[in-house]
Formats: sequence, C-alpha cells, structure tokens
Amino acid sequence: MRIVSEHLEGGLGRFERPSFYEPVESAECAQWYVARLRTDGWTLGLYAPKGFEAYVRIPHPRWKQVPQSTPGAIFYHGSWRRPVAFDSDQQAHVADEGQLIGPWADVLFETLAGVSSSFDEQCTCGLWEGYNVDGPATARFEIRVNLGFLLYRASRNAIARSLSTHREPCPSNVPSMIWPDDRSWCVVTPFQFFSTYLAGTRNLIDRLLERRNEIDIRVAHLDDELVTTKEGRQYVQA
Amino acid sequence: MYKLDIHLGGLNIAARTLTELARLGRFRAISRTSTRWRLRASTGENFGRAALVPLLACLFAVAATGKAAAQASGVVANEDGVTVTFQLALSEEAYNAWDGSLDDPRFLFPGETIAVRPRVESLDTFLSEVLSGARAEKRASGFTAHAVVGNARCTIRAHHPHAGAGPDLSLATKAKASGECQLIPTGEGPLPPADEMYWVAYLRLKQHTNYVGMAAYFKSGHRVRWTQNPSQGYPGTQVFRHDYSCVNGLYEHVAEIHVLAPGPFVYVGPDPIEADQAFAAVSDCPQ
Repeated sequence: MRIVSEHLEGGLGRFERPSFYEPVESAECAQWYVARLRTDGWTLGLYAPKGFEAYVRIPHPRWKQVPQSTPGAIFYHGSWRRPVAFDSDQQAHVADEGQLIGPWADVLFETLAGVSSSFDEQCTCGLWEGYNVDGPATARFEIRVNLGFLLYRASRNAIARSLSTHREPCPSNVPSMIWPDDRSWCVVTPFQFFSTYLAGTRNLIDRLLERRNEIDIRVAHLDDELVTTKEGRQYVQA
Repeated sequence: MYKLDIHLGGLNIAARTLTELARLGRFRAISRTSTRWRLRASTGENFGRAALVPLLACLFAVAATGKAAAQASGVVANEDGVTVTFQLALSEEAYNAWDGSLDDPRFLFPGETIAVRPRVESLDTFLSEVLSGARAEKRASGFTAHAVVGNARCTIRAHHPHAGAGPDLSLATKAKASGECQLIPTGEGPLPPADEMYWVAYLRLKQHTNYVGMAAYFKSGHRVRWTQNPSQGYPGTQVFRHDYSCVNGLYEHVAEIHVLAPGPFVYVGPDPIEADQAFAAVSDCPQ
C-alpha cells in the first residue's frame, strides 16, 4: 500500500474559498446595504436591510438520528435523520449556527430561481471574515464595529449548488448575506445564529411560504429579537 | 482556576483513566517532511529529538536548493509547494515482532474514521497532564526508527472569537475551529489500530494575557475531522469563556492539534503537529 497523492491532496486543506467566489475590489457595492441596517440592538434589523416588502425566517434544521425505517426520515450525510422542531429538541446546543444546508437551501434557491427572469444572476455576498479562510484579498465592510464581512461576487446557481442537498456543506463558505444586482431580494444567514432570513417582494415571500409543507418557514419582522433576556442573561434566539 | 472542557471521542477512550491516556502520549518524532518532499528513514537510523533540528534544517535547505540536490539526499522532490507532513513509525521491538502482514483487520487504512460520540467533562488539569506527559516522553533519548509506517498530516483553522450561543443558548464569548488529520500508510508496516490512534484538537481562548477558556476534542481513527458545527452526534469544535459569559474585549484564539499514538508506535514531530491562531476584538456583547 503506497500513498495515493490525490487522496492526500484532496482530503485536506479545506480552508480555501471555493473558486466560484470572486473577490470584490471595492466595498462601494455594500454601501446601500449598510445604510439600511440598524446600528443598535440585537434584532433582525442588524443583519437584514429595511425597505423590503416582507421577510421570512427559515429555522436551520436540527437533526436527530432515527432508525432507517422511521417515516419521514431522509438520507443525509450518510445517516438516516430527520429534522425535528426546536421545541422538541433537547439538545439545543447542537443547532446549526450560520449554516443553511440541504433541502432547506434547495427550497430557498428554487424559489428565488422561480421568480427570476433569467436562468442565473450575479450576486454580491458577504462572508464573515472570522472564518479565517484563505483567499485572495477582497473588500470588506462592517455592519457593526468589529463585525466585518468580506465581499465576493458569485452566481446564484453556484451558491445554490454549494449548499444543495447532496453536498457536504462547509459553514465557512456560507455567505452571511447575498443579494442580486437588482437588489430585489436579500438572503441573510447570520454566522452566529440559527436561522436564515429572506427579504423580498411580497410575491417572492408568498411563493416561498407556499412551500411551508416542505420546510419550516415563518413570517419575520425587522424587530424580531436575535437575542433575548431571560433570568438576567442574554440568550440567542433559536 | 479556569475550567477545562474535555470532549472525549469514542467509546473506548471514555473508559480509560488519565494514566492510560498519558500512556497514549508516548510518542517521539522521527522525521519531518513535506507531502511532496518524501523522506524515508533507513533501518537502524537514529532520529532522536536532537537529530531532528539538523534534519529539518537539511531538509529545507535541500528544498531550497532544488530537485537535483534533493534527490542526492534521498528526498523525492517536486516543484510544487511545500506542505509539511509528519511520519509515524514502529518501534524497533514492534517492527521485529511484526509478521509482515498488512491484512490484520486491526490495521485499517485511510478513510477510516471511528464514530465519535463525545462525552463532555470538566477538569482543571486533565489535558495539560496528558500533554506534558507526552512531551516528557519526547525528551527521552534517541529512538531507533525501523520503519516509517505512516505519514500524518493535519490542518486546523482557528476562527475569530465572537459573541455567540453558549451550550444553553446563552450569549457567550467563544471561538470555533475546524480541522482534519489523516494518517497515510507507507505500506512498510501496519498502522496503529484506528480506535487507539488519537488526535486532540486543543483550543484556548485568551483575553489580554489570561486564558479564559480551554477545550479539548479527542478523536480516534486514521482520518478524523473536527467540524466547527455539530455533525452526527459531534458537538462542534468550539471554546467558550469558562463561565459562558459574554464579555467584550480583545481576544486571542489558539487552536492546536496534538498526536497521541499508542505504543509501541511512536510519533516524532513537532508538538503540536499543527497550530493556528486568530485575534479579534469582541465588542457586541450586550452590556
């Protein structure tokens, strides 16, 4: 048995940004975004810009291992699992922070494609700089002091593929914010929280809500708390 | 006294005592090379710790002087970049006792990853004793390397400290990491049983000059991964402030990987085998 170099090279070194993310030279493209954010508090308005007709929240799946024969179980990452509602999940700490994946991402991006007039579209993405991922220098912007994001360009379809059901997602490559050039919608996945949000037209939001039987989708508002206070402590909203 | 979170992977190690874990740390360096600049230890050649530094110096000097010189030194060169890996070898006694078979089911090959179901404990000095024991062993006198049976390669990335969810979803200052290790057989000897080959991701959170949180994640196997987020029963790789509080300030996050090879196998190489650090000012904890 000798070393297979392809195996070695392919298996490690996962800390590079995928090549479909192209660095942006100027942060000017994010000025509109930052200008529409709230600057205080821990509400959705910290991450999602105001001015859209409607907002929804897609809670990230909490996975629970179940027997293969369990009704509703789906095949994922080599294990039979099914999503469980947060309220019934006793291990809240195993939630997926900043990681929109699998069927959840598929439903979201299929809906975005369904309302788009073109097969694909270029988007601007903000990826949290704290993932410390190697890549070419790119412009950055802050939504709050010390809360910085690196700016990239990528096509909607490329992002969707990277998050799709059949791929093993790398949270470091999940953008915290995505918007197309026409700014008709915005997808927000705060890296330290447990939901993804979509801001858009009423038509887009309604189209997504029609798929509520497939994934958990809830109406959201910019005033929704990301962090709440209980018993004198701050808690992250699940 | 800070609290140290210990995350033990695998059912076997859960039952092991501290002493047994310390025993796992008996490893010594024999050689260091790159994935592209292979180096093979000859039978009977002594690669004690003292020999390692000149060996490294020689190796990288060779790397710098080009392919011809490298081949003359027994290094298979490649013009591509230098990526460092390390090697694992059998002790002389184990090599002599080995019957030459690679078919023993205990000796698994790359791709094996033992299922991890971590157990979380809180101890003050657990890991430091394990690692200091390992280091003490590495300071022992020279070791006769007979056969390089595997190349160990690791990578780890420390993420920036930030305000995020603690174990009970309370807001806490924390930092995540992700990494991977792989043991590649050379074919010149059996690898250690996968369930005894341990790797430790050791995370420390430092504020100013004080360590305010530590966590260790043990994994066994010939190929292991530490994911930043939970995955298949694994809780994710992260370190919190010891009291799970959210405190603003300037933080440093140091993430290391240590190798714990079971006897009679010995690991010789830098300790930690891989490390990364990240700095960040945390300013969004609610005050």
